[in-house]
Amino acid sequence: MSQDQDSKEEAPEKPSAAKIAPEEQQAKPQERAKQREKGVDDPKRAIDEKREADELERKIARLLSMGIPIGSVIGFVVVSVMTNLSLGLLVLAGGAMLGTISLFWSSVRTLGGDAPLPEGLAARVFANEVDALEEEKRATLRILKDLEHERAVGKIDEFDYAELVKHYRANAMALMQALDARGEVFSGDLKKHLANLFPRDTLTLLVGEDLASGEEPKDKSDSSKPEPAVNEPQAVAGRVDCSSCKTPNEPDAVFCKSCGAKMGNESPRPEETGGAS
Amino acid sequence: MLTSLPLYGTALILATMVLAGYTFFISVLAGSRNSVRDLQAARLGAYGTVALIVTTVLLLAYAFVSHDFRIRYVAAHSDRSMPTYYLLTALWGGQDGSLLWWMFLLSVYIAACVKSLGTRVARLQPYIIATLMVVVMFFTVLMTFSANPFSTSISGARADGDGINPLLQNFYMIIHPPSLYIGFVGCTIPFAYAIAALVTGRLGIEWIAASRRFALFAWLFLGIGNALGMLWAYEELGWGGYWAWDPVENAAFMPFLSMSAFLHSVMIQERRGLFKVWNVALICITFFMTILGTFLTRSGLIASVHAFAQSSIGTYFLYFLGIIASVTVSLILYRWPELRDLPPSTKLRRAALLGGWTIIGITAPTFFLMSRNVGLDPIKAVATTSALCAFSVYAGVELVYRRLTRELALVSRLPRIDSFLSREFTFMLNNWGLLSIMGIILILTLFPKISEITTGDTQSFTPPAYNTLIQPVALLVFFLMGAGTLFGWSKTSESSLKKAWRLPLIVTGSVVVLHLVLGSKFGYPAIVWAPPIWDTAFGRAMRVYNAITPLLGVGLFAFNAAVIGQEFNSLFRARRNAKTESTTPKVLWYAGILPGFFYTLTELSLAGRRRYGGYVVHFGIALIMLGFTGKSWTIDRETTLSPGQSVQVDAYELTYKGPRMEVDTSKRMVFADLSVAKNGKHVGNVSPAKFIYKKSPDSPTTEVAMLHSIADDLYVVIGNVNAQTKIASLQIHINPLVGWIWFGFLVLIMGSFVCMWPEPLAEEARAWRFVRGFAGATASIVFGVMLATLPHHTAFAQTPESAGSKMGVALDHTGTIHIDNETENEIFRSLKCMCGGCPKEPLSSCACGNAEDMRNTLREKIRAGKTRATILAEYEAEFGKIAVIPADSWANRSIYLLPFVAIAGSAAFVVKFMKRGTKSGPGANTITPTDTKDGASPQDNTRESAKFEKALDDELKDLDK
Repeated sequence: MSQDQDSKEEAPEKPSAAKIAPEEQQAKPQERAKQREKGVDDPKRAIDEKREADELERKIARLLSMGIPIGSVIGFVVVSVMTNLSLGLLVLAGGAMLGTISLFWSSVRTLGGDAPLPEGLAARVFANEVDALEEEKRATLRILKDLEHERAVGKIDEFDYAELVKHYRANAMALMQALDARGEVFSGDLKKHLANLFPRDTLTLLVGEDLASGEEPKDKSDSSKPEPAVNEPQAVAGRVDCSSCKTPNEPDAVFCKSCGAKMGNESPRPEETGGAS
Repeated sequence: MLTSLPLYGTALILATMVLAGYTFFISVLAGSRNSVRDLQAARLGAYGTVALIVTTVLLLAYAFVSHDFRIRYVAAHSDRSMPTYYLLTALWGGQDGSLLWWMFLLSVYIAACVKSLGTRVARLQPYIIATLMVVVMFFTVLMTFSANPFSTSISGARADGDGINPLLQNFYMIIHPPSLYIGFVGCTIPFAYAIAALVTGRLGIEWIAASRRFALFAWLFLGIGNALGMLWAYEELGWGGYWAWDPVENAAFMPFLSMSAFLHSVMIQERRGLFKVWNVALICITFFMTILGTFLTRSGLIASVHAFAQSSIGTYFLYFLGIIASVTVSLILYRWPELRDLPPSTKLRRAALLGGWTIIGITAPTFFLMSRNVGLDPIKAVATTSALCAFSVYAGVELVYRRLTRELALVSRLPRIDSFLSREFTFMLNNWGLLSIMGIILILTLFPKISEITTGDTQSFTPPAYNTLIQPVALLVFFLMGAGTLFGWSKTSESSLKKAWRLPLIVTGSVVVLHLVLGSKFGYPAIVWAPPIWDTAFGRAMRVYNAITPLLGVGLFAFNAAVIGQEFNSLFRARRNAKTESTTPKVLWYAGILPGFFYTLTELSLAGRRRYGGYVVHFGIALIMLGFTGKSWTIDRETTLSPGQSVQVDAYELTYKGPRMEVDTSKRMVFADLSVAKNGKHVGNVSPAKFIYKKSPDSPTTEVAMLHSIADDLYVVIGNVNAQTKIASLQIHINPLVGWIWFGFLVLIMGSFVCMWPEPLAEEARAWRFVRGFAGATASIVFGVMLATLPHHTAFAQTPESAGSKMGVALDHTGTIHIDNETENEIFRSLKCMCGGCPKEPLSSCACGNAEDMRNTLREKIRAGKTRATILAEYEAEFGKIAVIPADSWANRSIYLLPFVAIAGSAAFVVKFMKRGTKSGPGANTITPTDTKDGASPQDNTRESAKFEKALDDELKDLDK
C-alpha cells in the first residue's frame, strides 16, 4: 500500500483549509429583507451602512471588555472602603455576572451570524496557520544555533558538527523553500521531502496544494498565494461574486450578503477538498 | 437575592454546567466545521464560563465574609471571631470549597490559555477549549450532586460557626494549598493540548511548543506547592521532619515526577522527532495522576493524616478516571500510526483500536473477577487493576503493531537513538528512573489496598521503608541528571567525552575521599548505620546499602555541582572567546554575582535560556538532595530542665531561663524561654510554647521554636511545663543541612523563571533587551529574597519579643497527636492501632483514645530502656504479626525488589544500546532522518540552493536577537 493511498483514506477527516481562511460574513435573510423594506437599494450605501454598524458593535464590545472589569474593580474598592468588604464583594460578583451575560450574548450572536467578527480575525487566523511552517523553521534554526553553541563550548567535535549541521540545514532550507514557494508548483523532489516532513493536512494548508496526493495544480494562477483579507470586497477563489455589487459570497448563498440582491446559480461550485487556492 | 443566596449559588453552579456544555458543543462544532465564526463563539463562551465561575467564587467569599451560617460549608469552616484573611482562606479549607477553588483556578488557566492562544493554532484551539470544558463540567457535576458548597443545613442557620482547624491557621497553609492547586490544575492545560493534537492528528512540535510555558508553569508550582507543604510539616507538626510519605504528600509528588519526565522528553521530540507516544502518554499520565491524587485524598480509599472527610465523591472521581483513561487510550490507539511515524491507514487504526480494546476487554474482567474472588468491592477492584490493564494494553498493542508492520512490509520513519553515548539516551534513562520512582510511590501508596486484596489485611509502609526503596533509584536519577549534560545530542565522540568527564570525576573523587577521611571529624560521617528494617538477611543487606547513602549523596552532589560549574565556565569562556557583546551593566556584577549572572542568562537566546535555566534548576535539585542527605546526621535529644539549668546537645548549649505565660482573646500561651549558645558563643533565644485555645482547652497545640543556620537547624519542642515546679520537658532536634532544601527550592524557582522567560518578538527584541534583562534579574532576586524570608515568617502565632534571634526564629503550631522524639516516632510509625474502631492506622497518626493510651504505654517502655526491636516484638506478641508495619511477609519483601527491577530495566536499555553501539560504533556516521526518508538532501535537488543557503545564514544571524 503506497503512502498516497493511505493518505487518501484520511481525506474525509481532513477538512478543507479553504474553509478556515475567508470566513463568511453573511447577513441573515431577515436583515436583508429589512434593508429592502427600508428601500436601501444602493448597494454601496448598503455596504457602508453595514460596515458602520459592524464597527459600532465592535466598539461597544471593546468598551464592554475593558469597562466591565475596570468598573467592577473600582466599584469594589470604593464600596469596600466606604462601607464594608462584603458589599464590595457583591459589587465585584455583580460585575462578573454582567460580564458573563455580555460574553454569552456575544457568543450566541456570533454563532448565529448576527454579530460581526473582530476585524481581520479570519485573516489573522489564516496567517497564523501559515506561520506554523514558520514555527517549524524557527525550531530548526534554533537547533542549528544550539549546535553552534555546542561546538563553541567543546561539547561536539568538528566532524559530528559538520554532519549534524548538514542534516538540519537541509531541513531548514526545505522549510524556507516551502515558505518562499508557497502556492507555486513544487518540484517532485521537494514535494517528497516536504511530504515526509509534515502531515498531509498541514502541508495542504501551508503550501496551498495537496502535495501528498501527488496531483499538480492545473493552473499556476490558481495556486497563487492565498489572500486572507476577508473584509475586502474582492473576488476570492471558491466564492461567487454578486452580479450587483461584486462582493464575494459563499457558493451556496441565495442572496448577496452585502446588498441583498438575489444570487444566480450560474457560478460553478468549488471543490470541497483541495487547497486554499 | 440575598435572602436566597444558597439557592442562587447552587443555580450558578448549574448554570456553569449548562454553559460549559454549550461551549463544549460549539467548540466541537468549530473543530468539525473549521469555522472561524464558530471558533470565535467558542472562545467567547469559554470566557463567559470563566466569568460565571468567578461570580460563583465571589458569592461564596461574600457568604464567608458576611457570616451566612445558613450555608453548611460556611458554618463548618468559619466563625465570627476569625479575621477576614482567614475567612477568605476558608474558601479552600474544606472539601466542597476546595473543589470550587479548583474550578476557579482552572477558570483562570482557561482565560490565560484562550487569551494566549489568540489566533494561533486554530486547528487545535476548538479541541483545547472542548477538553477544558469537559473538566469544568466534571467539577460542576461533582458539586451539584455530591459536594455543593452552597448546600444548607437542615437545622437552619446557626448563631456561630465551628471555625477553622487550628492546624490550618498557619501562613504556609494559606499559601500551600493554592500553590499546589495551581500546579495540579495547571497540568490540565498541556493535557488539553495533547488531546487536541491527538484528535486532529497534528502530533508534531506544534502542540509542544504552544503548551511548553504552561507545562513549565504547572511544574514550577507543583514544586513550590510541595516545598511549602514540606515547610508546613516541618514548622507545624513538630516531629522534626519535613516529609512523611503520607498518601496526600505522595499524591502531590507523583505528578511532579511525571511532569519532570515530560519536560525532558519533549526536548528529544523537538530535537530528534523521537518519543511521540511517550510524550503524549506522559502528559496524559500526569493529568491522570492529578485526578488520581485528588481521588485518593478525597475518597477515603487510603487512610491519610490530612485527608478530607470520606464522602461519595470518590465514585465520581473514579468514573472520571475511567473516562480519562478510556478516551486517552482510544485516541492514542487511533493515532498510533502517526505516533509511530507509520503511514496512516484505516487498517492500522482498526487493528490498533481492536487490538487494544480486545486486550482491555480480556484483562479487565479477568483482573476484576480475581479481585471479586477475594471479596473486594467494585470500586477498589477497578482502582487496583487499572495499572495492570494499562501495562497489558501497551504490551498487547505493541505486539499487534509489530506483527502488522511486519506483515504489511511497512517501514516506520521513526528516527532511532544513534548511540548510547548521547544525551537523548541519558534522558531516556532518566525518564525511566523518574517514572520508576513514581511507580514505586504509587504502588506503596496503594499498597494498603493491594495488600487487602492479596492478604485480606490492610498493610502500609513506614517512611523509612519508602526511603529505603526510593533511595537507589533516586540516586541513579541524581547521577543521570549530571551525566546527561555531559553528552551531546545524537552521539558524543571519545575526545569530547574525555574532556567533559575529566573535571567532574576528579572533583567527585576528591570529595568522596575527603568525606571519608574528614567527615566524622566535622560531624558528617560518610557511613551511617541505622537499625535494619527487618532483622532478616534481606533487611541487613538493605541496611548496608542505606549506610553508604550519605557518601553517595555528597559524592553525587559534588559531581552535579562540578558538571554545572563546568558548563557555566564553558559558556562564559565561549562568550569571552567569541567576544560576544555583553550588555550586562557592570553595576549588576558589582552588586553581587547573582544579579549579573541572571541578567546574562536572560540575555541568552531562547535555546540558551532553556539550557542554562535548566542547569540552574538542576543545581537547585542538587542542593535539595544535599539537604535530604543531611537527614542521616540528625541528632535527637529529650530532656527535662529546671530554670537556670543547661543541656549540651552536640555544639549547642541550651539554658532554660524559665516559663512565661501570655493571654489573648482566643487562647492562653505558655512559653519556655531558652538561651542558646553554640561553641560557647551566644547565638539567640528560643521560646517553644503550648497554646491552649478557649474553644478546645483539652487539645493544647504545641509551638515549635527554631534557630536556622547554614549548617543545621536547632529545633525545639516543648513537652510540658509544670506550673508549680516550673520544670519543662523538652525535645531538641538538630537537623543538619535542612536550610539547603529551602535554598535549593529558591534556586529551582529562579532557574524555572529563566526557562520561562518570554521569547522576544523580532521587532522589539533589541529595543527591550536591556529592560527585559534588568527586569529578569530584579524579578528573580526579589522573588528569591521574598521566598527566602518565608521560613522566618512567624505566621499568625504570637511571637514574643524575647524570642528574637540573630539567626532567625520560627514559631508555629502542632497537632493534637503528641510525638516527643524520633525514637518515639519510629516506633509509633511501625505499629498499628488495634482498637478495632479505626482502620488500623499507624499509632503515629491515629487520634483515637486507645492510640493515645498505647502511645503512653510505649513511652514508658522507652523510658525503661527497652530497644525498638524489643518493643516491636512485645507488641507483635500481644496483638499478632499483623500489628507491626511492615509485616515481615513475602508480599512486603517482594515489593522491596521494585527499585532493583527499575535499575535492572535501565541496565537492559544500556545493554541493548551498547550492542547497537558496538555494531555501528559511537563515532559512526549518523544517518539523518530526512536522508533516510529521501535518500538525498534537498539542496541537491534545488537549483536555488545558494540563494537559500545565504538566506539561512542571514536568518541564523538574526535569530532570537
